[in-house]
Amino acid sequence: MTLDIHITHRRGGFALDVALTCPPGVTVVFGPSGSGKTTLLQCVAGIIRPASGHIRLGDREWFGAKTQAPVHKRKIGYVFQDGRLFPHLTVRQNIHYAQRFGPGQPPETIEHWCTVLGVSALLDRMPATLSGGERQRVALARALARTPDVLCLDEPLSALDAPRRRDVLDDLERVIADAKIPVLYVTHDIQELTRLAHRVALIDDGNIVLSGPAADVLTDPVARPYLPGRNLGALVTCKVGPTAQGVTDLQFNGGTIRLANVAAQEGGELRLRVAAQDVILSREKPAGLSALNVFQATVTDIRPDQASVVVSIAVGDTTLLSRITRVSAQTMELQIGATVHAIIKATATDAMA
Amino acid sequence: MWTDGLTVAEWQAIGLSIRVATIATLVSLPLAVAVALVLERLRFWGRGLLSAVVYLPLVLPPVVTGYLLLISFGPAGAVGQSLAVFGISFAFNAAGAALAAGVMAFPLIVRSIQLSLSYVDPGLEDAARTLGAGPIAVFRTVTLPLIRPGLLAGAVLGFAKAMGEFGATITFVSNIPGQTQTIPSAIYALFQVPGQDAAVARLIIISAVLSLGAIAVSEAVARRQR
Repeated sequence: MTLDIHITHRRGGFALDVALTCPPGVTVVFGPSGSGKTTLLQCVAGIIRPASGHIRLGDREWFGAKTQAPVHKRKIGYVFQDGRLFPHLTVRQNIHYAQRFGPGQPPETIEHWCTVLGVSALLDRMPATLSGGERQRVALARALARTPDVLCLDEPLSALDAPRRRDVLDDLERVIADAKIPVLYVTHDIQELTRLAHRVALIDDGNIVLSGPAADVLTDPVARPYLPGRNLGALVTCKVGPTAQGVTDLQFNGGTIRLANVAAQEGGELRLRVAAQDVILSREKPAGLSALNVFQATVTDIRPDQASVVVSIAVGDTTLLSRITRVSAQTMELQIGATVHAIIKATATDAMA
Repeated sequence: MWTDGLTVAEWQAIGLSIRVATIATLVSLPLAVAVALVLERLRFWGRGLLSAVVYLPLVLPPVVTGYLLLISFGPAGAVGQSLAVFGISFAFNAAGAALAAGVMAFPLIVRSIQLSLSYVDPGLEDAARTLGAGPIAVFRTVTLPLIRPGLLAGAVLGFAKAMGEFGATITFVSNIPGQTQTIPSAIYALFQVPGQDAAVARLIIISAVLSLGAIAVSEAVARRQR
């Protein structure tokens, strides 16, 4: 079922005006703080009533000119930034809370999620005794136990430190990556986006600036102002091939990237973030390089970006970005349509299974 | 036994005080929860007025509160006369004493509950709603358990206040032994007669023990719930 959002909302000097379609899968709502991400999610959940527009899930109308379905009638799983576990209930009671109000997931399913999310050992604890990471895991298990039709996650990892964040992100991905329901994931973290997003909606100042498949949005020139420094890069989906001498073949549409120390199952899928800074361009075919990954490519776009130039290149059907200096761009005499060789410096740390 | 010297009237005063304070507290509690919820959660025109009316007995001289009760709930009062149609009377009986004690205790109970409500994160109630809880279920499963300490504290405070209420009670329902004479009224009556120091001391100790007992019970309940 597809979630169709078309709403306006006004609060003080801030105006939200959003049109967004979310098919099943993870839609990452990405944007700077104060851009209206949380407000959008709260409108979807019914916590805030928008001024006008509609919110529909399939043929059900949650909000419209004459409808405002109450929060508890929308089947939403909501994970808040701060977890919001009920302090007077145990972890088990928190997770089973939704069961009191209607048929939820069968116990085996809840148990399965508790195992996947690593909260099985915490069931008899009180929320106050949990760490931040544990709390968010429990909050996620609780939201899933509701058997939601839509899952809303509002910066679920923002309260965690970097190592914890990586841990929970791993678990999160395992649970929501192949969701059959629309998942709205709010974040301003590029790592979370790269790991989870099927689609990206770029939001700024209450408006959707750009939305579409993650790989397209990330390489779109419109998104550049929101992706500073190392955040700018392409998203390449690869199939994990065989590993020889510690080096794994990652097949993508356009060739094979070879990376050392990739922890991924052969035959599986892997997302590789190729930062624009890690792609070097050369007019001639380079020889005698230590880099393993050199691809012939066609220049599709050249655009100044602050002090540098961002070049879009097509390797097969895959778009990569390369950030080079203005001087290099001039001396190389780059033009759209030119053939170049791209040297990718990607390492295993950019690979996300 | 040192209680051997208690007269029938004194025993009656003790029994009546406990009954009056218990009824006043139990009837006030649900009402106080409702008023606290309205004052804490709703923003409406007249909220300030409601707040003022609720807290008025706290700042008015008790005699004035008793007098206001008398002219409204008394036999000649408008409310008193309308209730008389249903056979309900607060005039010079234990029900009247409970009403006076309840009105005096009410602001303290509301205050305590309102304070604990202000510490309940509305975000938790939102979370409950996203998990399928309707308004009543949210209150029953989240709000109420979270304000339980305030509820308990309010009940104890209210009970102690009702036990000790004197001014409004004696003004509203007078000081009739066996009917409206509570412990404070009995102490006051004994004061009027010389040579009753021992009886006064006994009643003072008893009222102190009862009030401290209420606190002990609430502490025990609070500890068990933790």
